[in-house]
Amino acid sequence: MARLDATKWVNDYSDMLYRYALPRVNDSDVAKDLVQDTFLAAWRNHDSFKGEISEKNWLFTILKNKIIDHYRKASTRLTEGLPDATSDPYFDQEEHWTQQAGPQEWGIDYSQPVEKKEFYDILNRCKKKLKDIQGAVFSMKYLDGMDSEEICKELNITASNFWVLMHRAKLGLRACLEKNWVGK
Amino acid sequence: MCMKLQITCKQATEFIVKRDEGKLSLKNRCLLLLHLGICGFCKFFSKQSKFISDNSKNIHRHVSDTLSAEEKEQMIANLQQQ
Repeated sequence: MARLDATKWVNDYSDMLYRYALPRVNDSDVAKDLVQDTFLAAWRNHDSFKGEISEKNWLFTILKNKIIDHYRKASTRLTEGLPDATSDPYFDQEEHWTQQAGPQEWGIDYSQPVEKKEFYDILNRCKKKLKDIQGAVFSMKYLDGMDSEEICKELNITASNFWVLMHRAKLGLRACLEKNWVGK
Repeated sequence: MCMKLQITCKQATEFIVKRDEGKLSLKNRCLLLLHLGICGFCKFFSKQSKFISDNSKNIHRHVSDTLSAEEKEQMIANLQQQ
């Protein structure tokens, strides 16, 4: 086993790991801490690294586990992400859209993938505004491609909670994009 | 007994979120289509929800953030202290 070289590790892998974590946790300090923790865990357990996968993949495996742990912490604050039973900004008593919240036409070709970085910057900012647990289910589904059953199992939440969280995440993201991106 | 054919906008948007993940039953897909035929707001929501799902898969390709030199120095120092 080659002697561990902290400088090389950090120079080779830190940005890559950081860019993986950042859109998943939507907080630069949290992402930075997760990368640091990943290096520390890898450093301490380097003896158990068998070289069956590349060092890079090994670091990513550790980071992914740390991100899941971070999501699990958010899932202990589940109720934050569920709608307030007394007032709903999106729907009225009859469950119709409220006047302010009704979606507007965006005037774009919805089937055309967006390539502009500006859109993703705004999308990330909108994701940051979601409650942590809403952001977690959304990231697990759409950034990691996990199935809803898997997500419920990882976070120990019910299917019904999952759908409420995803519904609220979509309502929040849609409204935020309409306000901040559309027409730009 | 007559099947209730009308769903509310709240239900319709819940159905759309499930549909985007391929988890909406045939019966509910029919109810959703009926609702979308008469509700402009939900029709926009339907397109925009799918648009968000489709494009969110590409988020990682558009992240160019890096850690600063100082943050990296700190990480190296923390590792070397181990």
